[in-house]
Amino acid sequence: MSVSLASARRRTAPILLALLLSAGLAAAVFSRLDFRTDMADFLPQGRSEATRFMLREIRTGEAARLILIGIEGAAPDRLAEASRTMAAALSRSGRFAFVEDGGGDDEGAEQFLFRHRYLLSPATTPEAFTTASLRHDLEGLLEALASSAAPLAARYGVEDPPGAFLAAVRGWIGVSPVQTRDGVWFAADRPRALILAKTDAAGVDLDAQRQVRAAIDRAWEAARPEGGRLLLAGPAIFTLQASQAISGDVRLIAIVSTLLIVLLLVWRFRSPWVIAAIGVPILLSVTAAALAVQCVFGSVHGVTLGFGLTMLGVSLDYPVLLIGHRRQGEAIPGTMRRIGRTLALTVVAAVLGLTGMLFSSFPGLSQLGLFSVVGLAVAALATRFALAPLIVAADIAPVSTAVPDWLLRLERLRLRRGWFLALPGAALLVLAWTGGPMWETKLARLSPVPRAALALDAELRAEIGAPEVGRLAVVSGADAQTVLQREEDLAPLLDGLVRKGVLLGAEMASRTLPSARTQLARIAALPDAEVLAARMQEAAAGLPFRPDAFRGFAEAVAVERAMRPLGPADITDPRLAARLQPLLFERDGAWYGLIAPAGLRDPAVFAAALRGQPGTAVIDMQAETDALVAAYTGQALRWLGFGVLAALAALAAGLRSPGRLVRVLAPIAGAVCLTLAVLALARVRLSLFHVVALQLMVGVGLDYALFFARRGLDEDERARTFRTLATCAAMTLLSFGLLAFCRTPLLRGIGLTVAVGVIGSIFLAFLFAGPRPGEAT
Amino acid sequence: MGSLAAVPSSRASFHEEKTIAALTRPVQDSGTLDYVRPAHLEKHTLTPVEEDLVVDGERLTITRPAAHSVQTLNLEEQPEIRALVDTIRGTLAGDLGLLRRLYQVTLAGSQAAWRLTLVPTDGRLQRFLRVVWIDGAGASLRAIDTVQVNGDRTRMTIDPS
Repeated sequence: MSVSLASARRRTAPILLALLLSAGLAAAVFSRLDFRTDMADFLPQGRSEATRFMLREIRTGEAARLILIGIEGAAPDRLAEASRTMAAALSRSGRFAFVEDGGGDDEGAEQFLFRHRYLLSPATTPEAFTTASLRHDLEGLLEALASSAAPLAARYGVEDPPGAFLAAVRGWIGVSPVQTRDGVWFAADRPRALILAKTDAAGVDLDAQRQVRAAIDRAWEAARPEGGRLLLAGPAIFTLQASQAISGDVRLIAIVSTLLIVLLLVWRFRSPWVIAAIGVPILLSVTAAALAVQCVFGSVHGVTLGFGLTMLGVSLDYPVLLIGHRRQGEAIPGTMRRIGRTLALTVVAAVLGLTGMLFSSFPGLSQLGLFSVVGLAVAALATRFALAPLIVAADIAPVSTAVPDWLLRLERLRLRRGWFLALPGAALLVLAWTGGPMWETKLARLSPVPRAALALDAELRAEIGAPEVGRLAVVSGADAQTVLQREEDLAPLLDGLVRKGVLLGAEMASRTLPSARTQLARIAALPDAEVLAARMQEAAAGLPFRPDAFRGFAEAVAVERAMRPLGPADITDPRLAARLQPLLFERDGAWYGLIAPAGLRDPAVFAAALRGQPGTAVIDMQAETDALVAAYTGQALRWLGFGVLAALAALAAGLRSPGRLVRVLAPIAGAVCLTLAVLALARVRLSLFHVVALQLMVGVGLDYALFFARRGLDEDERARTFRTLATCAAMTLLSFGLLAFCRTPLLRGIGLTVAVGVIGSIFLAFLFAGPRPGEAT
Repeated sequence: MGSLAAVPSSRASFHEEKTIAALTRPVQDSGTLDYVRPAHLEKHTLTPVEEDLVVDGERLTITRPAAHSVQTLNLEEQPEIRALVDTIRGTLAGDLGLLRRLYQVTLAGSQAAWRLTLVPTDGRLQRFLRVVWIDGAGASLRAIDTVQVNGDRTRMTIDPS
């Protein structure tokens, strides 16, 4: 007993050592990798300069940083208190560029606007400073001083009889339906306090957004009124939710499927050492694949790793195929004589099939392709040169060797395989009847964000008056002044559209900060001190104003008359800057102004009116991204087609017989038809992700067909092949098939694709690739 | 204050004198005040220019028949006007809590002749209001004297009818 235990330890010691070495190597490499989670690195970059710009803005720009917060479910005064507490806590967290709850001190902004009222106000015209107009203003002022509005009139009116300040303030307030109650913002038609915040970090920076979310949760804990509900929306919130939903799903599935696969393998080979042995090529292949991606792309994207690991599920087949075909006590050359050639062919075909992805200009897809190609090749090499000696040393082999009766009975099904042609036949009929596979053209439908969340986003956005990110016009120019002038030239057109009811209003930078051209015209409209004094004296004749009452007014006009026009750099007050910066900004040496329509009723008319205006582009992000996805899907399919052709060429060369090529390919083609038919019946629309999943399915299907198609095998070997392939299929079902139980629709679609494909492949490959009983080989 | 809180509604005539720095002489106006607990206030100015100011809850409407103008404000969005309205409403309602939210409140005198001194503590209010004195006798208001930071001053005297 003790002797056999010691010898067992000797035989398995190399496996442990190899496993430790590979794990150490993996740890060393992975600790040095540059991981990215920023989706901007992973997604397509856009076809035209304008699209590229907008996609970048949407993902990393101002709009993607906005977080809309609603608080409801308590009495209004409690909501207001909660809103204030929450906004203060968020501001203190240091993670926000601004937090706006409608309260707070806006004295700085007010003073700035007051000091620059004549430059910034549309009320500054030559007519406004005529004696007649000033006389009218003074009479109005006197009346206001006698009325209940006296405090306001005394405060603003005396220093500004033409009323330029109030007109300037209106421009900065903009078109917002939001109401103020108890000093904070509320929705117009329901008791819901509103907060608008902008994060410092980009919306797609998941790590930073996780911290932001934690800060929001902490602030809410402190502010939460009894029975209160917190509503959150905004691109950053959704990106995080989606990533958490997906990683939650994947984590659960990964744990469950790893456990099930380990149990399956231990049961199949009756040895826990088989797990350790299989770990060696898997660890080496993942390490090599990640290293290759790091070297070529400079970083490894989290999605590549996640998706790539699933692609490597195929490579799990290689060690299992080797161990499953080994006879007890057999040396390496013996096993390789029987399966070496077939194993090599499956690896070459699978690798060539995936190379197509390498050439995609969809950055994520080409990373994924490289990861998979390197991973599969290294897994195969490691299986042959590292795993093989290890399992021979430990003498790991399947324990059941007897040929079961049921296998022979199953093989007799091949005599009547013509009947089973009905399956792919029916699949073709279904595909013909449903009009073939449906393609997903709308990126939004791939979004794991629930519809209810999107509806909440739209609702909060409308209540708070924040612009929709999806549809806007962009005015570009070499400098800020060109952009502002172009916007001013568009103003009459936009006002016309508002009058026609096409939209309720449009936010744009020039409404707050006019161009230097306009400001110079206003400066020119201001009379000099002597002229103004004379006109004011005449205008005030007979009215009970003190002679020096309007000294402040005269001084302000003189000061502003000597001013230079204000530019974007002069707007430094945080409140005013927060208002201007999202609408006017510089990127890579060019300036951009956004025209954000509010209450857009007729997008087509809006787009048609602005199209062709100088430096102006109307952007419908929805349509842009959809077109982008369609273009990349088409391109990816073409490259995949090349990959498939290369794999076919390798198969034709390796099999050296048209008949055998047909026997290998027919079951796979049949399984693809079956899968597409099931997806069509389940009303699943195909996306790039499903195409990748189909590729995975074809890869494993090829393993089955090639191994079943081997000729001249005795019953023992056929039994080994059948059991081994059944194990492989079970492993794939336990890993990818389980994805069919995910909550995320995308993962569910992939799971369904692989599950149906694998079951179809192994069944059809068994029937059609293998020889009929008694058939000449 | 306590006796004020028991008054369900009241009507009075008022006379107002505004001393404004920009003007050579004070502006006079007069009219009637109507108050219905808890939040309805009407100020009808009859001379020199007719004007109706109606506050109902958070909505303030100013009607000037001569100018054919009707202006509606949400008090929440006009903190200065709201503070003034709340000063009068809070006093008429005997709502010391409301007043204390905006001012440091001190009460002096006797039941027969009392004086409420309100010094603003709220930042927005402090920016333009220096002090408000409210004089009363028993359950009725006699005068409201408002002094602004810029020295402008409004004295409203009230005759209960």
